Order: sequence, then C-alpha cells, then structure tokens
Amino acid sequence: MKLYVFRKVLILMAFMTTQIFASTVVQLSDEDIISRAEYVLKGHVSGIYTAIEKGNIPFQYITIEIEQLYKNSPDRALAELDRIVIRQMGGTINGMTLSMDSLPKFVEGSQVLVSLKQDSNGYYYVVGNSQGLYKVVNEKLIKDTQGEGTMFVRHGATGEIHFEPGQIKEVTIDQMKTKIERTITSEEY
Amino acid sequence: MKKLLILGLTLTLTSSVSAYTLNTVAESGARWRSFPVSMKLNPTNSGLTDAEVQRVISSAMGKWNTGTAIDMLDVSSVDHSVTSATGMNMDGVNSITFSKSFREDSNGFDPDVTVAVGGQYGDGDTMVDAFIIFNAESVVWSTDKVNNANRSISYGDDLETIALHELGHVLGLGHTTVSGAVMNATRTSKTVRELSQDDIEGGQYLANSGASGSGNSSSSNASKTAGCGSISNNTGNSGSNIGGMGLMMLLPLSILIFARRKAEATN
Repeated sequence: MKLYVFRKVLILMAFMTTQIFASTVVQLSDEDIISRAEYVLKGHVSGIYTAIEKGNIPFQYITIEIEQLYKNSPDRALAELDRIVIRQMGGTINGMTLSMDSLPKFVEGSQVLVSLKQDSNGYYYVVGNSQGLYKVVNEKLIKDTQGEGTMFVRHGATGEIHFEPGQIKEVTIDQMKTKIERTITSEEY
Repeated sequence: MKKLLILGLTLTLTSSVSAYTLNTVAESGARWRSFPVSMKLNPTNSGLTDAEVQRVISSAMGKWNTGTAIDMLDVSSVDHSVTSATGMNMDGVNSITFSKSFREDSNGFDPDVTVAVGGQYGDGDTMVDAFIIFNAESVVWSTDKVNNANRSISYGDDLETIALHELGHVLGLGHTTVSGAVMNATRTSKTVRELSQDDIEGGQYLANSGASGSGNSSSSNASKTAGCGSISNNTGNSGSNIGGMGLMMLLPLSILIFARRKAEATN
C-alpha cells in the first residue's frame, strides 16, 4: 500500500516537472519537429554572413552544405541542391549586435542536423526555433537548448521512473534516423 | 528508508537553485547605462483595450522595479505610431507591439510555435535598443489570470506572464534553470506572475553592473549582489550548483534518518 502511495507521489511529481510550453515558444518533441519540417538534413555550416535589411535590421544568412537529406518535401524537393541558406534576424555588423532569444545559434565550421521549412518569401527557417537544431559531435547529435533546465521524467522498461536533467539532449545518428523514418512512414499512412 | 532517500533526492534535484544567465548581448558585456529603460507601447492588434494592455505591461514592469528595488523599466507612453516593423529597427526606440502579420514579421522564427519575440541591440558595452513583438496572429491574449490557467496555448495566453519574461530579456537576462522562475524558458504553470529570487538577483546584477548608481536605486539590497562571485552566466555551471544545493538539502534529511535509527536502536 505504501509503495502504491509512493509511486503515486512520484508520478504526480513527474507531471509537475514535465515541460509543458516554453514561455515564448511552444515545446515540440523530435517527432513533432520532423513532422512539421519540410526538410531534415545533415550538413556543415560553411558560412555565416550578416547584412542590414528592412530598414536597419541585421539578418544572418547561414549557408549549410548538405551531406545527407533525411526528409525531402514532395512539393519542393531539395534533391538537386547541395547547399541551402537559412535566414534569420540577429548577428553582429558594424560593431552592433542584435541578440534574438530562442533562435538557433549556428557556429561556422560545425556539423549540424537541422529541420527546416520554407517561408512565403522562399527563405528557410528552423522548425521550432532552437529546438530544431542538433549539433553533430563525435557521431552523436547534441541539442543544447538554453534554459531547458526542468527535470525530465521517463518510465523504464519495468515501469520504474527515471529522472534526467533536460539541459543537454543526446541521441545517436542511427536513433534519429529511425525516428525520422518512423515519422515519415506514419505520415504516409 | 531507501524510498525516503530517493524522495529527498528527487525533491533536491527539482528544487530551486540560483542559476540565472545573461543573453548574448549582455554576456558580451553590454549593459543599459541609464535607468529606467523607457519603452513605447502600441496595444493595437492585441484584442484588448489600450488601458488594459498598459495596465498589464505597467504591472509587469512594476514587478521588476519593486523586486530589484531599482526603477529599471517604464512605459513612456502609448504610441500608436510604433509598429512591429519599425520596432525591430535599431533606432534607439524601445518598443512593445502586437503583430497581426506575425508570419511576415517573424523573420526566421517559426511562426507556428512562437508566442512572442524579443530582441536587444548592443553597441560595444552599451545596450541601445530593445523590442518585444507579441504574436497577435495566432495567439489570443488575455489578462484573466484564473481562466488563463486552464486555457490551452492554442486558445490564448496570459499577457502578464509573457510580458514579465520578455521584459527580463530586455534587461539583458537569458534563461535560467530554476524551475518556476519567470526567466525559465519552460513553464509548469500557465500563469507565472511573480518574480523568483533568482530573477530578482539577475535583474539586480545587471542594474548594478551597468548603470553604476545612475539609476534610481532605492535599496541597499541592490548593492549586495553586485559583483557576486557565484553569479553564473553559463548554463553549463548549473550542474555544479545543483550538486552543491543537493548536498545542502540532503544534510538535514541524513540527520533525521540518523536520529530515527538511533531512536529505533535505543527502543
């Protein structure tokens, strides 16, 4: 009986500590992100260029050389492209820096796995903002979303409860491939 | 006994720790050099009256001012000439607007999941401009705390909760790992209308490391946290904080267990 009550308390705590929404961005699971994305690809950031546009606003142009395309849009296929350019507000130009909260931060020369969508102007943006960017480090995918400090809770194979810090999420490329394939397959049915 | 220990550990790991961070501009050393930071407010498109929006934004600003004991923020006026498009420009005009064309104005943000956008400009060591754009295209804004607590994000969101968070970014704060804090990027409750100690310490640190007394500080509390060696401006440090706090909180629990065992042995 005591064990039952104890489990109930733990389950209640699990719900209390599970993330519901980011305060400015709705939280998405990997499956949500993949499902919403038109393109999921792995590549390396070959260049970041900042320009002043729309009056006096710095915009970053992030070029990614595509190494592997995991999800392709049936309407606007990327198959023939070997690079894409993401456009987002922010960056430093002429000594002036624009910091945009929640937007993904790219580093030149780094390898990334990124989920993208095309806006009405033809520019690509990252699905779920910083949630849609994984950095590839030693064949592993690492998502370090700033502020994801809430404790995550998951159930193990025998129903036991595991608590995990949520700051850094790490999956293997194979695990992510499986997630992508499953999500695409479920979309097709 | 083992269960008690696990419960204690769980409570420890989920409890609050001091871990506020600075946003990119503030992390590079930029600060507001005078206070209060005045912001122009255009409530058009909010779906609420000008008076309602002004009351909520003023209330949120007042909480930062009262919490930090420094007049950091101020709504200078309701100004219908400021738009989301002009607000984003680095023109030295700090603005708060509501966008009905958020898809157009989002400029790299995912418009399907973004509730509000905040940006800050830094010029060398000085913050020179800030803006907040609320998504009024797909979010229904409300000021009703009781009802908002039960609403889904697709229906609406609590303006004061989001305003408090975005104003923290305006001051230069990043996201914290402290659960329940206004500056936590995630919420376990849909309405968070009070600053945590962590939020307050972050605000005070920015005020005191920036204006150097040029603001309207009305408390000696502010100076107590200035230059505090435990300040973390890197989320990577929070792990060690949790460990330290964990030991601190486990100590009384261990004493309790020890005392109980001793009592049992005596009986």
